[in-house]
Amino acid sequence: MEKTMQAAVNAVGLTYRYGRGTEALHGVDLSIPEGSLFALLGPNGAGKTTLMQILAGLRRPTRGRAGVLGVESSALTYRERSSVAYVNEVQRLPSWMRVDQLEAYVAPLYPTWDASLAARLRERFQLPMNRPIRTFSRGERMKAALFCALAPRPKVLLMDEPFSGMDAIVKDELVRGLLESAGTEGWTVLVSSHDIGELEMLADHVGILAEGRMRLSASMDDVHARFKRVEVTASEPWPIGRQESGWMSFERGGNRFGFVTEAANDGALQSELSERFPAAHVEVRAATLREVFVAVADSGATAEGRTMRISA
Amino acid sequence: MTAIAQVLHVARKDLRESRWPFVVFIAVVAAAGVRVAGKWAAAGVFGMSMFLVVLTALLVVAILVQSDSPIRADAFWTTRPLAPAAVLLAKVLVLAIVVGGVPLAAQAITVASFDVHGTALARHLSTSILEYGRWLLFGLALASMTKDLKTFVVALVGIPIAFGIGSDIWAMLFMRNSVSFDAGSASRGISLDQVITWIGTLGCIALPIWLYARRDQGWRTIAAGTLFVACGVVAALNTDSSPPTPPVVEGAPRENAITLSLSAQNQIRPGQIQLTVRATPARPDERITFRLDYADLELADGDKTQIQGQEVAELGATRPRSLGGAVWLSPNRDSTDAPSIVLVPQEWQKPLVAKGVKRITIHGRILAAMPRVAGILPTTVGARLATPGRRISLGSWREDSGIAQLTVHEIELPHSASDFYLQNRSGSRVLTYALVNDARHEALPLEAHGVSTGSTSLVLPGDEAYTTDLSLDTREAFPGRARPPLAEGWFQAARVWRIDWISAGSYPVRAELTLP
Repeated sequence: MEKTMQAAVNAVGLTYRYGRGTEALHGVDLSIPEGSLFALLGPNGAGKTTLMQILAGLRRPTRGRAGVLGVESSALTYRERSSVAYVNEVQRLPSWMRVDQLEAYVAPLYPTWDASLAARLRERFQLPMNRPIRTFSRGERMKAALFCALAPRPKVLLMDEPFSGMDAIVKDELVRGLLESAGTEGWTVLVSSHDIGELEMLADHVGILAEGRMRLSASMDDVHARFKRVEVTASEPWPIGRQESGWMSFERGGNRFGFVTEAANDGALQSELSERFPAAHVEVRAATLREVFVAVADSGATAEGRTMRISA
Repeated sequence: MTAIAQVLHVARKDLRESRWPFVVFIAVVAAAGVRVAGKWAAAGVFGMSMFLVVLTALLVVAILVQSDSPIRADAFWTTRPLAPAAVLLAKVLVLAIVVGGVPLAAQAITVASFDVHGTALARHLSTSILEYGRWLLFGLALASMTKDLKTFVVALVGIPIAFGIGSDIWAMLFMRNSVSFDAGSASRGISLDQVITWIGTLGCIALPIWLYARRDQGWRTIAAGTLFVACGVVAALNTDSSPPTPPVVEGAPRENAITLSLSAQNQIRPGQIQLTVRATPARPDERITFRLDYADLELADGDKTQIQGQEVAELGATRPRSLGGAVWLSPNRDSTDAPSIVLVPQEWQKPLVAKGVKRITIHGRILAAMPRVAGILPTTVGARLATPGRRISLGSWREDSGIAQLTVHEIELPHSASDFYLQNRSGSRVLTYALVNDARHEALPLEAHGVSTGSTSLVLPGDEAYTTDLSLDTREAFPGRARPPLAEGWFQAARVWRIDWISAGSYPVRAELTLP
């Protein structure tokens, strides 16, 4: 087996094409350090699920390489696969089984299956024990999938829309649980979700995928430090307003306009804008993850222009 | 968990998961087995049960394979530490036990219910394993390629339709060329059918292995898979229905050479050549069955062509000289009948034959057989007689003014190649039934004035059971259907005798006819 990468999860120049048509991924680079909790954001059809499936070894890349725990994903042996858990929003479970039957089927496959953790997860998720999985709600099915994914204490956890269909209480519990476990167990977690608020709480690294390209890949601290939200308000209706280079998510209305931009220094940016718009009030603050996501995903800028490397 | 342990682990899961489809399948198999094993009357169709068994088996295969589909990215097993080979082997193991083993056992019981045992039973089962195995392979390959049961069923229905349309188009476009595959000499090489069968069989084995190992859904895999599955269904459908060639069995006297002459009624015509065939038995009571394989024609202009055929002619004795010391009350017609065989040129050969034929050389095989009484039936409606490979029942009996008319139902499971030619067949002149009055030492031949034959499968594809309904009449053997000269109350003491013709040997034969 070829040991190719140092990071827990790694992708280099990853391209995937469905059949001879749609290119779902184009030259994606990704590097997730061991023990990180990486949030993968992207609009619908951005290629998040395809990327996850390639990393989980479920699809072979058209070009490029993807690796997990130093092994090419597509060449993971079944023993190596026991260290990698994959949870998908639409993943099929053996619907005829009850949870105890599911555990009896899955547990012997994993040398690291933790029966006591499994018991705690069953309790925390309040999984119905006397009904077959086919009668479960969407949220219950996702919990059952997470139960199977977490109980073997995987080294890498790939989660595609794991909060889908969950109520707020369970979602909070899951987020807390993941934060605890990722910290104490040293798990490497890659999670994709449209639930940006939850991810902001969870993640220490973030990647934004749009139209099959990785537009941003950075630590959460870097994102907060680099991306600023600017609001410019005048005392009377703004006469002219046009978007300038480097301004993302530009909005204009009445006597104000706002945008997101990259700037290392808040003070310098504030001074520069105050000089340009002396009659206006300029407010600069760190952009939220949602604002960064919308700005970067919509910007259409090339990955090379905006990608920041993650510092381990 | 070792790989073997994984196989057993997944197999246990599969047995549990698919238990209800298995129960339905086993019920269908059981119903088919009971229906065939308990069948005495020849009338009626029970081939449908085999069709249902195969159809249900295909659906069960699909359910089983698609529960751990190799091509679904969302399949549960793909995200677990399971070896693909273990998953596939588990499927094959469960298939072999339930979908293969259960109906095979039912087939064995059904064949054994015909009093067929030992090597003959093994031969029947091996044929079934081969033909049913091809269906299972086809099902396995198609189920591996399709994502769900709905797609599987659509493909299952679509492929035969596409195959039918495709073969029609093929026939229209390439019929002239395809003759070269069918009309070669007896020593011809590999046929197109054989090529398709091999591609289908090997491809349907390779496809699931490839899909489970690679989970590849590329267009090349889909194209190759479609080809393999299409060839697989052709292989499964295209079973050789022609009777097997009787093997050479030493022991038959080779002196009974055959001679040919042109039939008095028919000269050589482009569409048909009718030849009279004669042979002299080497010993009394010997029945000689000639089967034509092919005929070489030397044409007037020196060209040659070959005509295939599987005509059968009865040349020797048509009834034993006596039955248990009883005397026949009707004249023997052996010497008066001159059977003929018909050579039918194919469309493209007709212009060749029209140029004139100089010499005809026929190649075939002679089977020699001797008569033996297989069993005796009382003249009671519903009376039954079981002989190895055959069930006989008396359907009706009517005796009026010195004439007896009866119907006999037979279901027969030939267990040797010779049986196909020697046992009762439609149009055969050879006597298989007689009415014998032991007290008077007199026998009346029962010749058929109506014969209805058919064939039907058992539980599984493979060898067929032949069904025959015979309408027998005591007058048929008398010139002008005259009333037999019988004493009063002759029928009260009479019983129906079934005569078997037992193979005494076979050998290839060749005869030549030079035309002026």
